[in-house]
Amino acid sequence: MKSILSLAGWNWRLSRRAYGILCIAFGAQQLAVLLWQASRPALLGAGLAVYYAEGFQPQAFALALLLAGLLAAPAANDRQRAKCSYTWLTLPLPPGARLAAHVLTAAVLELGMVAWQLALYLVYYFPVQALESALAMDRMGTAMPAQNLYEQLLNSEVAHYLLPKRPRQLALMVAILLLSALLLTCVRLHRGWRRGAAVVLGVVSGFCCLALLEGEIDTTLYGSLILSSTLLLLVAIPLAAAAFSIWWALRAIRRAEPA
Amino acid sequence: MGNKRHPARGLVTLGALAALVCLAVTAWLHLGWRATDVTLEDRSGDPGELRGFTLQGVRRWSSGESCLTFDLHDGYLDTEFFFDFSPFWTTTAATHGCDVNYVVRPQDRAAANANAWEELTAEDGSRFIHTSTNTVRRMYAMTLPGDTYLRVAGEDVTAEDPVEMLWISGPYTASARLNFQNADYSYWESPGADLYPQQSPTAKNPVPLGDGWALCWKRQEGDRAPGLYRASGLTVEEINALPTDGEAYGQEVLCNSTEFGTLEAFYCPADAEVALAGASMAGGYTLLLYLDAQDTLWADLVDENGQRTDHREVTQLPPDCEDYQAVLLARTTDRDAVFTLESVPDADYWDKTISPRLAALRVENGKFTVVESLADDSTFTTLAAVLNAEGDALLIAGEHNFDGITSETGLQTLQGLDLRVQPLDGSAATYQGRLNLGGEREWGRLAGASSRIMERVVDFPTIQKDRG
Repeated sequence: MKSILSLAGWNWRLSRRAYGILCIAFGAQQLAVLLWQASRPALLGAGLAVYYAEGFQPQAFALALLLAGLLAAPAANDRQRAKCSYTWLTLPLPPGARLAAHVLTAAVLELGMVAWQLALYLVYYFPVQALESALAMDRMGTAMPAQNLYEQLLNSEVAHYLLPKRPRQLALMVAILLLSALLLTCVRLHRGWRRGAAVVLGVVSGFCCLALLEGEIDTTLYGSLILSSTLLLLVAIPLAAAAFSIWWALRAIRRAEPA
Repeated sequence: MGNKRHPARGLVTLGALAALVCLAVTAWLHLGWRATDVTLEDRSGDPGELRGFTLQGVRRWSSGESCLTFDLHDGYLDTEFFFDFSPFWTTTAATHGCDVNYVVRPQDRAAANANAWEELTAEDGSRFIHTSTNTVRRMYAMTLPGDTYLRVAGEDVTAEDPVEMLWISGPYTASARLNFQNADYSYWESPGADLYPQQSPTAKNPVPLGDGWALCWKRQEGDRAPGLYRASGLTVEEINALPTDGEAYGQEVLCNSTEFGTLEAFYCPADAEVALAGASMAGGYTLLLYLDAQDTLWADLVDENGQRTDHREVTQLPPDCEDYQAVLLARTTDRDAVFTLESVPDADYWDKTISPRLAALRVENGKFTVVESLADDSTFTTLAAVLNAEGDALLIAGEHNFDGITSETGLQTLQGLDLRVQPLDGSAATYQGRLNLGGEREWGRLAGASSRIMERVVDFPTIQKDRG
């Protein structure tokens, strides 16, 4: 266990600079996009939640999340550090431990990105509201009612996808986080055509997970809308992808494919 | 940064910090909902006048998931927040749909078939078959709560010019009997005459009666008098299983003129000109509001056998209007019934109603103990009204839209509910206040981003039996 943690820590040390750049770039683009959306006359008075959605920030966040998970495995097959990779492959650790360490780093980096987005959303509320109030005064001639931060969070895509409202939803979100960490690690681990296959597996599982997340919300609101056969498929595909990916990744590590 | 002897320290710190932020924000989402709370603001009069009233509602966004319930009882406002509004999805009164169409009468069928011609065959095999006839029968197809359907005949109408009929016949004809146009010949167009009646034949809300429902048939049509009719319908499967009973262009069909389901008279007062609405009251009694030939509105109470037990005059309504509508407002007890009364003078301006009124009724032991009517002369739309425990005043909640700017988009946003306590003896309001709903924050709906901003709405849950 301690060795897995150490290895995960080394993965973090290797990736933290890139991760820092990713976080700063994501934060900067989000502020710019939010302010630009807030300045559009067609969106006057719409509020942070609408600016966020109109500026494709849910999609930007999804991309940043995937990149964060991908960043976690430079030690596996970084071309510029062939020696590091060679060392990693000859560590006296079982292949499972090596895989687990990478997945752990990926999961923590992804969780960090989620927390980063939550913090950004709350902090950016203030400059966006200031701009909205100024524009409202300009256009309307009188001060317009300010938005309410809680409501802007409640009705946003951020709350919809990132904040659990029920235990069942929390369990689903945690499972999706771990699964994505696993599948993203496998994308970095494999080479050549196997990497392409890992990407396809990841994309398919990703859509299944999104559908499950939305389905869970719809089921809570409207009663069960998903056919049980569809539900079975949506659960089975990611689980099968996880099981297969683990087996395939361990096989690749044993056969020193990342070298 | 970090320690080479403890390389995981940085990762653990990041993980712990991230988890903490996620937990904190989630906790705030769950616990901080008072930030979006509904509040009561007293504006004039004595807040003590709210004693004896209970007003319950649900505020939510039109396309959101969360909702907030408020309960104003005896002047105390209790609110509760829910992340999903599913418990309140069907808390409003049941409604029933009524489609009107015109069909070929059985005695004209042979002539219609002789006149029929096929216009074209579409790619999916459906055939467009036209015919014409001079006399058509009006049919009403109604849906009842619980997804059953009934179809009844209205009057026969003779037009000066032949009425064009169309039948889109296809592979689905046998199972599409609820769609007039797919099942058999139905109305297509009538040059020179608009056949469609302006008013709906029945009141919007079905009335719970025994184990089923009753419909309030508004006006005399054929030999069907205005009053309450016990309604029962067939399920879609039962309708599709009915045997065919006629022929159209060589094919066996279930004629559109065939009635199914039953509409059985329960209570039709002899002097009724227009039956406005009914309500199911405590103790198995049913109430009917109707207008007589002198435009006087009466309230009758009948028992479960359709025998009248009380008959009281309510008010006078404006004469010579195209339509009169009475809608039962949401209620918390079946002892009371409060209706909005609207008179539509001109069919061309359907939303211009004149002298709106409220009728408040209370029933105890088969007799009316309260029968009062108030002029609803406020400028806002009345959304809810409840009687107090004593039965001598109404708490009226009206829509208050944000008026800080003029709407450029034609849309409004619900800032709050204007409350007033109105004594039933006609004296001035004893209390005025406002329930703030926070809709002024969606002022953007009036300015720019109308289509992107969710609308704030209020529903008023009603008692279980009215919901169906």
